[in-house]
Amino acid sequence: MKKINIGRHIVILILIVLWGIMFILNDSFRTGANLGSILREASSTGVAALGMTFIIIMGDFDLSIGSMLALIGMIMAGSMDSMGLIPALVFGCGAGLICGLVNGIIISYFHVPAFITTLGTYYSFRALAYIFNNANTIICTESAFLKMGTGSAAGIPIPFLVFLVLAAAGGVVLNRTTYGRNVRALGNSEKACQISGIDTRKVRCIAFVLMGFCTAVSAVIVTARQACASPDVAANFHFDAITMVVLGGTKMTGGEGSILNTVIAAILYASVSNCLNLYHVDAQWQRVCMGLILLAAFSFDFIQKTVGRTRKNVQKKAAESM
Amino acid sequence: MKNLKKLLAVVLMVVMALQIAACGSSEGESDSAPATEDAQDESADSEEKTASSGESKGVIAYSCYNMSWEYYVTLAQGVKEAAEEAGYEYVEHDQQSDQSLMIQGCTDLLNQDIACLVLTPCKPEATASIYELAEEKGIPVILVDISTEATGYLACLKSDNYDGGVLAGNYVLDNLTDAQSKKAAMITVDPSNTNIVRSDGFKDTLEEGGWTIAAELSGQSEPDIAYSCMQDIITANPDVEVVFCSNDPMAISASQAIADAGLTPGEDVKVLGYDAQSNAFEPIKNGTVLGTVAQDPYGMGSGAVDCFLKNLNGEELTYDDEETKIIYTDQWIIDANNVEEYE
Repeated sequence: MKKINIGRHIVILILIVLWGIMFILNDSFRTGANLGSILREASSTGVAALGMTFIIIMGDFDLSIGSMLALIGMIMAGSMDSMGLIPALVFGCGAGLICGLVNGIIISYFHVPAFITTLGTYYSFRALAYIFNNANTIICTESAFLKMGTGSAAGIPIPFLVFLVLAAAGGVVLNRTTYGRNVRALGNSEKACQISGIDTRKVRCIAFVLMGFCTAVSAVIVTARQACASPDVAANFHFDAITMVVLGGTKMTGGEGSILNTVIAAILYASVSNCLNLYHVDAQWQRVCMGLILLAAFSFDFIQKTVGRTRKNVQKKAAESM
Repeated sequence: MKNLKKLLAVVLMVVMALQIAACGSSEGESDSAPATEDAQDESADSEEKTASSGESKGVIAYSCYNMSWEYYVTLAQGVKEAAEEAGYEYVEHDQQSDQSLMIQGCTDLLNQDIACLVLTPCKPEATASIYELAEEKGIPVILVDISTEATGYLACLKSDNYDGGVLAGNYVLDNLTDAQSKKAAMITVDPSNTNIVRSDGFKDTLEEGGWTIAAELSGQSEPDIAYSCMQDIITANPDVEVVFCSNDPMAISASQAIADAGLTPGEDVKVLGYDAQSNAFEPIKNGTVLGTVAQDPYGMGSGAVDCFLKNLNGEELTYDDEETKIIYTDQWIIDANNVEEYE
């Protein structure tokens, strides 16, 4: 009999329980507008969390994405008036790819740890975002662009559709391609990868470029939703994205992870925040709550292992005593 | 290598925990057992709330720039008391200076079909989608303290920052009639801040009164930058007599810089502040700060609720500026003579 690992899918269970409770108890929660708002919120950070899933599976992380998002947003909004919508989007995505490439090259070819590299670019990208337009906010008025953040298609928010498409693509890449297998292998053991002839530097570099692309898509959603690009946007974006990934069961030590769980975790994350807002929980208590949840998410792996080990020990003892 | 990775992971976690503890970060929450428990606890609360809202006429919500600032706590108090007096339930949302939180929080409020949204936007440029949703739902939005370029709000209650500067300027002209050099200096907020017109009002008034503005430096709204600005001003213009600071924390540290330079604040150089924060009252009493321009946050809050009620009854609102729907609230000077009334 195949044992279902509850731990791996706990996030789905929690989401179902939370939504179930909220559906019964709160009239405002079950309205279409509110559910749409949750999905919209989940998508803006969730898209970046997809890229972050790859990075964390490799055993790295990227702290620069919040700053990168601000910079891409500024570049995109800044070029939209003069160049038009499509070129501005291409330009923004290009900026994302380049930012990711910079991170990737420094990390994989200059052998600087990801923590240090992305901490450095975290400052640089943010500063560039400020420099770009003298720290001023750029307002976007192009209605087709704003639709990408606020519009819906067949009742489903457009950002969420984008999120699903990218998640499906990400899932295929991670589970069905050689590249995805290499990413997982790299997270398990870099040595083993090198011995077996995988170009680890290339694999790592590409993952950071993918991260840059995902951040660019997030930047489109966030900028379109706020109808403006400002250099101080998304200050805690990297933490939110990493939290979602870890919440989805991807291990910080690398080697294991699932795109589906990241998607669910993103929705859960947005739902909890929505619930706290619906009950008008005081901002300070929201922070306390968020801190606890974050810590619970990070120690979840440990708790699960300890529980598993204790259970095994008990079983062993029981078997021995018989 | 593996150990290094583990170490980095631990470092990252500590940084994150600290970040959350220190600045609270964003709305987002996640996972697991605590979340579900919270939801249950809170749903118990909600049942009480719905029970009591039986008599309530609806909900007036206030979404605030940042509730850790005294000024906005007073403003929220104004909204709350006026709302409750009118028989409405009051709820509060804190944007924590984060524009994403502002949009998400206001969307969540509007989706609950509240009666009215009172809003101080932390990012005035990012309000368009809030107005759009409010219009769709037919919920009036009333701005307080900060106006936006996008329209779609019922009214905006704020202080006239230029007028406040004029007030401070006239105070100087009226009270420092024995001035020798008639030289003044200004320490302003950062250039992108709309409050910059405070110093413009001061400047125009003083120049009309025959004074010269010897220096105009940006203190970036930060007390420590204001301190070094003040040092530079004294070095370049030893005979400067009045310094106008665009907020109180800057005024307090400017007065400190004057004292540290061997001059007597209040005698050699007089300092004026803005905002009437309670920590400026002590310096005003002992004379190191001459006075401060007081705004009326409580009046803005209660005024916003009045506007909503008037509009509900079909009365016309009288705006100070028809086009931008701005209604200016009172401002006055607090100095050593009347500071005790406000403590």
